[in-house]
Amino acid sequence: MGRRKKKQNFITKTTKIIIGVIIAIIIIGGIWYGVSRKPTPKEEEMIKIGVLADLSGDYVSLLRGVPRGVELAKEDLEKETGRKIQLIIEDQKSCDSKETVTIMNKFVSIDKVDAVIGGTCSNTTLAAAPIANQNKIIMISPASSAPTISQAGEYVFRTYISDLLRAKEAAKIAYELGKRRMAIFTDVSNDAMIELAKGGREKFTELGGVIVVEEEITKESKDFRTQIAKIKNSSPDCLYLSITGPNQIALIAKQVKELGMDVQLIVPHETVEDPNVIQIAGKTIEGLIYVMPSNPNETPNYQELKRRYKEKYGEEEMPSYVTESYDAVVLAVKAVLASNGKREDIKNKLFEVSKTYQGVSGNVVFDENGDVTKPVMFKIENSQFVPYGE
Amino acid sequence: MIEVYLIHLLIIIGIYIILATSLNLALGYTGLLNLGHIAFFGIGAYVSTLLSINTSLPFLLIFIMAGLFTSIFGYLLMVATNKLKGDYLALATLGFNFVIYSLFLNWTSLTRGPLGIPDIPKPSIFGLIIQSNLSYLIFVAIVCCLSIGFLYFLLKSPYGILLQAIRDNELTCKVLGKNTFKMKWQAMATSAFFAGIAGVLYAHYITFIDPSSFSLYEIILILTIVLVGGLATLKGSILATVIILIIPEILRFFALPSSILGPAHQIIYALILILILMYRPKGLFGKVDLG
Repeated sequence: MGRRKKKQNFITKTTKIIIGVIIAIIIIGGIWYGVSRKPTPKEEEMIKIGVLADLSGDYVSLLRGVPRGVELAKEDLEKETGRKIQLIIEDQKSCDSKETVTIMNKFVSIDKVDAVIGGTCSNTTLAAAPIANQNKIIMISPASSAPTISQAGEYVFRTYISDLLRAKEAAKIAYELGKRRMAIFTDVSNDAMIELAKGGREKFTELGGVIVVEEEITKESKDFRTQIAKIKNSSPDCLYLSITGPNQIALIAKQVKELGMDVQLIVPHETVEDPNVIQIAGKTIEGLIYVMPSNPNETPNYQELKRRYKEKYGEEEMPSYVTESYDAVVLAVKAVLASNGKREDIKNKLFEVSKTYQGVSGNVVFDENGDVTKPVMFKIENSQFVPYGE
Repeated sequence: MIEVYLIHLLIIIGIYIILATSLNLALGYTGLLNLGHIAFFGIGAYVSTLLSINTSLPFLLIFIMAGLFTSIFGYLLMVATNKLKGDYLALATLGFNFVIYSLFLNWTSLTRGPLGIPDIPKPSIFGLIIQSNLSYLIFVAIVCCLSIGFLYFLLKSPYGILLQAIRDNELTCKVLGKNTFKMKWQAMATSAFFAGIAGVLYAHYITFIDPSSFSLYEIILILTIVLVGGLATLKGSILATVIILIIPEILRFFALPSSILGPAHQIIYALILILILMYRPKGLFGKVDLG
């Protein structure tokens, strides 16, 4: 290690002192800046919102919509309600669950926030949920989709759609189209697909339909003729495809037609929106209905937010999660204002305010699990992906 | 109310002290450049989680079983990398880390993959359920003290001195008739055992685990702790754990705008680390270097 010792000589005492002083100045300056920025209005009048955002690491760009969405909401709400809102934005370092738990503890014990917006990835939301429930603080996730979050506790909400609700929506449309005999195809190598199949099965039988047959495949399967022949024997009128692989869906569509079956194809998610699918399946996939989670709507408040976003951040298109985060903050603040200050009451009021508020991200009425229902149907028509019913 | 936050930090610090001191056993004392330590941490966490969810074994048994199971992996890793030294060993153990990480991520029927496992039960010892964070802190503190005590006496003993001799000159040890391979795997397995029980403590405290908790970033964190504390010193590792985990928490109170908050924290954090290592190139209490 003689080499390292030699290098040490280059760092003289003066250099060390200079660097030490620089760092000391940065730290002291930082603290001074932080202290001097202490909010002027009385603490009680402020509404404190803790935000779990991802400000460093791999997902900064992907999840940049979250901190921006909440900032925009804060500005609007301060104008609208005249109340000061303090956002405490913390960095959960790209979906680090340990970091999230630390932040939640800080929110609860030091910042004493009225509500929490977050987490982003489903794992952080699940890690933070026990703390939110224990301390009776409402937590609204703008980005988590895992079905397990519905059962994460009574204080956990989300403005992003659960995978499970998509499944229910898909089953409902099948029933509304007059289909009563459903066959289900499930990719059992994928957890989410199993959940989607379960959701679809439950909803369809609840509505009064019958599941005539269920077949399982794995993500490696390429030939489905045996299963389709079996399905054909039980003569279903619709086929529910809980499968992620777009190519697999295309092949099934093709082989279904080859075997002379005429059924309505329904896919409870959006991976099928892939040009390859049409290339492989061609005309045989016409009429397939699938469910998108987002809500590309053209309402005036959406347009207004889009304009303000561009003005503030200089980007033409809003990235994902801006609208969901915006709605989450608005709902949280409205619930706090409507409540009597008690934490249970904030939670109860959240259900109420969600009924009257027109969300920028679409429907944000919470059901009893704290989930929202806003899937959008699409259909394949003339080899194009078009909104269903238009 | 501030104590809730402090208790949480102390629990995390306790868990990381076990993790850092056990890495120091392999890295600092025995001279094994092990970058797969976080995989042991993860194995411990997953084993105890799966056992406590799927079986009704008592917690203490699960606790020990998870540790022992992890130490088997420590042994296997040492067998596989027996012929490797220094940088090559570091690369191979890093590879081990990726293998285990991929297993957590892709063995979905067992680990639920990226969705993670929620609702891990809090431990109950002799019918006493450790529900509050304060009692959990006491539990962690006891385990932490026992671990450090064990490591302290182990390393003070002639056996510990021999481990250090292997680090300084393996050939001489061999010439003197010592079975260095046996000692190395024993050190690695012991180190893995403690990493495993740290994983158990972590899983049952957070009550949710997913593969991201055991990623590459974490190994950098533990390695930083060990290097800042100094190689072959337990008190250095303990002090460094406290410093390294506390600095980011202090930075939280800086109140920076969100657009620069993330990078600013990282810059300041890194500067402080650089400063510490400039003044103390061998770490806070380090006496040795890995040549």
